[in-house]
Amino acid sequence: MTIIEFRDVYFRYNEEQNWVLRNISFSVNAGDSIAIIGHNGSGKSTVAKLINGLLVPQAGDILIDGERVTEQNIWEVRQKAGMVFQNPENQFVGTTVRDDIAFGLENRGIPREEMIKRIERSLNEVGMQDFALHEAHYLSGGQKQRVAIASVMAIQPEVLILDEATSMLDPVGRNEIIKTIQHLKDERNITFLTITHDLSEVTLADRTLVLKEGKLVTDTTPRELFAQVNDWESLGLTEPFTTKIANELEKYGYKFSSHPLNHEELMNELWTYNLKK
Amino acid sequence: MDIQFKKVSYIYQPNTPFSHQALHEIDLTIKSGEFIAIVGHTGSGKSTLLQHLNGLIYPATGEVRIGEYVLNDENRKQDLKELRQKVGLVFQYPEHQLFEETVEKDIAFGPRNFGVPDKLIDQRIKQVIEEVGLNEEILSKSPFELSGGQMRRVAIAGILAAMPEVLVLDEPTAGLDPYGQQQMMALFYRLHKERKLTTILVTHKMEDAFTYADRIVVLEKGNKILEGTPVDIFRDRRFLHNVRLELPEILLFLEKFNDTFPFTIEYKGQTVEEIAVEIDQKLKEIKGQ
Repeated sequence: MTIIEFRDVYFRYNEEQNWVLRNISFSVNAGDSIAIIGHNGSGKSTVAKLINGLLVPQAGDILIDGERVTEQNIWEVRQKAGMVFQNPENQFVGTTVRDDIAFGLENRGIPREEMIKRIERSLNEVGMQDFALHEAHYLSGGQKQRVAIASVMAIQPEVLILDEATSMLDPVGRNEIIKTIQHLKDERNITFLTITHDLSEVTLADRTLVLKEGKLVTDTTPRELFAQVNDWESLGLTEPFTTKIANELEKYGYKFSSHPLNHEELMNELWTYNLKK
Repeated sequence: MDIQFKKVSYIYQPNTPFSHQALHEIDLTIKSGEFIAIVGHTGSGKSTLLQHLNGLIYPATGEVRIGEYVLNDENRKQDLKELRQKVGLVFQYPEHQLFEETVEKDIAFGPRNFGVPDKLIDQRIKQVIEEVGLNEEILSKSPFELSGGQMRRVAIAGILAAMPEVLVLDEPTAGLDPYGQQQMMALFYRLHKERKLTTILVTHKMEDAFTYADRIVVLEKGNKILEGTPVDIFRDRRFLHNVRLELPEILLFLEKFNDTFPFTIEYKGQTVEEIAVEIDQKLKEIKGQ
């Protein structure tokens, strides 16, 4: 079942400027996890903002769960597609963690008993159940982002969009978020859309969309992507370490049967290779 | 210009219930021409430390010596103009400080304030715009019609135009894509070499610290907990795990590799290419046995 569909979408901020997105078409099946990558200014975040109606395209259609996004159904769409942004400091509205999650539920008129249940469930899912009464400014960046995820999950969306949600966090905070997402993938049948520059996050997705200067240039699995790309720089990225060292080793006659995505895969292959010869 | 911190402590909002000690008796010596990385997390005191470097704040106790300047609690009233010309501070997101109508005027603002004659300013503008990898056509444009990466380069050009001897960089790659980050760090490293600068990089990216710095200083909760060359820091890495800092990927790989295979590859600051050669040699050795 298709949950998100872009049909020939064009977008620009105003008429004097160039197109930010040109002729973008793709579709996402429910339950898939998609990573969107691209250089600064490639249009990644614009795609995310179009999905939940923060921006409106000049041409083309965007369909969420089979329905075209219009000004009339924007609230339904936002119920279906929740979004977590980059800066953990900008997304806290309540004084406590619990109030913060309640805010979105109150806006939707959810009854109190149901609210209490949902707050508890979503805090558990992000591992923040012990922080319900904590105030925002006592939390680390990673914890704030987990609360932001919980606030969205409490709305019970079908799609969770993470717009560079880990880019302002330290390594520990980033790992917290990656673990939380992995846990959510197991728990709920929900579609993930991750906009990121972090190639280790890309390896966790089922599929990768690559944007370059406003165009969709690649739509493939992470493994295929790592095997195909030889010009990471034009995508605003640098060659992944594992790919780099695998390529170096190939110069000395080592062959890797599948393109290794992480350290473990590379070492396993080296180990087997070593035994065979 | 040598820089020396002697038992420097700093307290925010002293004598109030909100009093907070951000630095605890920091000792640190930076030799002229060194590239130093100061790493630590939010709240580790790294931004407080760097604000001492051109007298934006004074130590509560202890003293900071920068060239001929002495900054301590007793001599708060001194003219720091020359110090500020010699120590260029690149704050986080420096492009937020652009304000002039054209790139040219924006770059000229700093040197003009430091009393540099107009003729010299013109020469310097041509020099710095090239140094940051932009061309002269950009000079007549408004800084606000540029891309984010270009704006940052213009802001940095403005700081370079004052001809500082020390360049202090506070998370200078934040917000750029990974390739942009690499380009920006390569730019700073080239400037460091070509202009023979003393460079102080404040970052939480261990990758950059290990790649570019002669020495790394690790701060945690206002204390200096570790200091040394990248090889020293790798040797003492057990201290890093407690402070939420992660080793660069090449070192994480080496650690895991050494656990997996029946031999050890020592870290001596090798590149990926050199590591691959060593892996190949070691694998061939055991096969020979």
